[in-house]
Amino acid sequence: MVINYKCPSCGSFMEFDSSTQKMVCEHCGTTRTVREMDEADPSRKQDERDEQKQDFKTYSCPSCGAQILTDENTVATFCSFCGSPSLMEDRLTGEKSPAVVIPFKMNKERAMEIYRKWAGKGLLTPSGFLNMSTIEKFTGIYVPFWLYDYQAKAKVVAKCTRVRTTRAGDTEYIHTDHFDVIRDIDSEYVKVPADASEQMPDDVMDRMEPFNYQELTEFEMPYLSGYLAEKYNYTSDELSGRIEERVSQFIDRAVMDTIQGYVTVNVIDKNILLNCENAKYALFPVWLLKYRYRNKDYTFTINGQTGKFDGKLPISIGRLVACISITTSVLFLIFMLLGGIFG
Amino acid sequence: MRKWVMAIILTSGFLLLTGFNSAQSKVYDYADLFTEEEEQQLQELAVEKAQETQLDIIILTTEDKEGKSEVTYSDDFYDKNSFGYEREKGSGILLMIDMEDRRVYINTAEDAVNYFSDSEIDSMCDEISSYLSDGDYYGGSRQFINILENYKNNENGNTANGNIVNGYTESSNTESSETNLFTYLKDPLISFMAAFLMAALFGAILCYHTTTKMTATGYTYMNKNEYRENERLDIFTHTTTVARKIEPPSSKGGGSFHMSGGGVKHGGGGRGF
Repeated sequence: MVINYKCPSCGSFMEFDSSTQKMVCEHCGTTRTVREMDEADPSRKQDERDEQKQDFKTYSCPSCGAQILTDENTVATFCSFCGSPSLMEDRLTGEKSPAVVIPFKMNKERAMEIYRKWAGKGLLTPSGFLNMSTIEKFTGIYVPFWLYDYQAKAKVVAKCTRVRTTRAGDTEYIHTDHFDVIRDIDSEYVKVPADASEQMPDDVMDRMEPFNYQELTEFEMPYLSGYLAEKYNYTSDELSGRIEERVSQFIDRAVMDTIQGYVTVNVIDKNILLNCENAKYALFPVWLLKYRYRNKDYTFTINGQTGKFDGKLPISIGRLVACISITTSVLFLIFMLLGGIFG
Repeated sequence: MRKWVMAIILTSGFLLLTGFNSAQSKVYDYADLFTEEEEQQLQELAVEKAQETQLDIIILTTEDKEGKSEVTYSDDFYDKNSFGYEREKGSGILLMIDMEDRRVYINTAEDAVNYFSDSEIDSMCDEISSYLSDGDYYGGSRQFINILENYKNNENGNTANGNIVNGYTESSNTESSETNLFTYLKDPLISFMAAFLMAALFGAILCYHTTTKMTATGYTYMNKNEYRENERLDIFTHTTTVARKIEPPSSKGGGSFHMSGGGVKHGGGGRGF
């Protein structure tokens, strides 16, 4: 059912703190490691029985008893009435349990800082953009991903040419040397991510990459406390099409990069073979900032581990015109000057 | 008194050193085509223009080439008289009006060979022969001396003085007449267009920077330990060759030449009139 982690000292709620990478009590400051909280969790013994339960059902908050409003994909949220962090344990156990997780590395303040810095920069950003945009929603969310391990093979046969010139007397000779080029490579691509959430736009998630896999750790539920989390919408098979196209491009680039030093490369035959070895279910941390500027909604996304962000700065037409005009005038003066001196 | 003497000594000393003998006759009218006065005028003009062109300018008229060809005859005449601007048997240009065969022949010596290309010599002959056909031998000779500057090339192979040459105008430019990139910038319209284009490019780059980019590539996820090259072959099959004749540098740089019996480099050309 729904679980939450209670502080052993004062009974308040324990949340995962990204700066210390430990569970921290928001009231008295007691800390415990994630492992300790996980092992102390009494509901763990119920795992086997929960597996048969359906996905969509009502959850009640263990603290205040209110019904937790949630959709079928949410696995971690906050009780809308009392605000206590609530984890849908049955959606995270057994088969549906994520294999690995990258815990949040940066907290809300840091994320806010990144946003502010980004919004304040830029020659073309309208002045007052930072001040005038209102933040509608600011959430830390664990986004579900599938991580694929692929074996890839590529064989290429190409006709390539090199050119050299020689001179004898008053005749110039242009020699084109023709080569038959063959390449055959094997490679492995590990933990290639594909965003398994329907809600999060794929292209935005792509730009969150790369995540630092050094900090990829075995999944334990306490990490989610204090954040939102979703489970996957798509199975690893459903996303394999997208992933295979991506890995194909990887191996294609890799093999074509081995053909260097030619003037022309004409591919006669190309053969790519992919083999999926493994697909792991992972949760990656992301900060989501929804803001409103001039009656339009925007989303600013931050990689909760590396700090890489995605967002589109609005372009002030006025500033753009001013920029181009000033540059034109300055360059014009410089050119006329140069023309007068050297022309 | 003393100043005058010094001036005379210096001038003649200078002229002697340069080899140019202004006292020497420059007009040899064996065919008797000019009046005394015309001869005098041509002489003065030839000496005057010699300084400007750095060439010894000679006018020769003849009715009898003593059995020699026009080339040999004029070569020998030049060499025998040791004409030359910078030294004896030096640079110079000779106009021969041959009444025996009714031909005009221009003979160039030493540096003058480089100053006039074959086509330029032909053009000069054409200009002069029109005078000669009309019987205006004095006019033709005078014209010859006057047009020398126009046709003469400096070291770059450009004409030193712009004027109407061969019917087309060349830009008047006493220095080297290359147009480099900066010349185009003088035109305000071009400057403005270039400035605007660059500014627009700059603006586009700024706009591009308002979005974020994808940075992960195949190499991000590649397990380099497992990378293996099974086969790498680069087999040479054959070569195809295309031959191209290089245009010889345009003869603007100078004319064809030969060595005369007197050991002087001579060039030239002629035509009938």
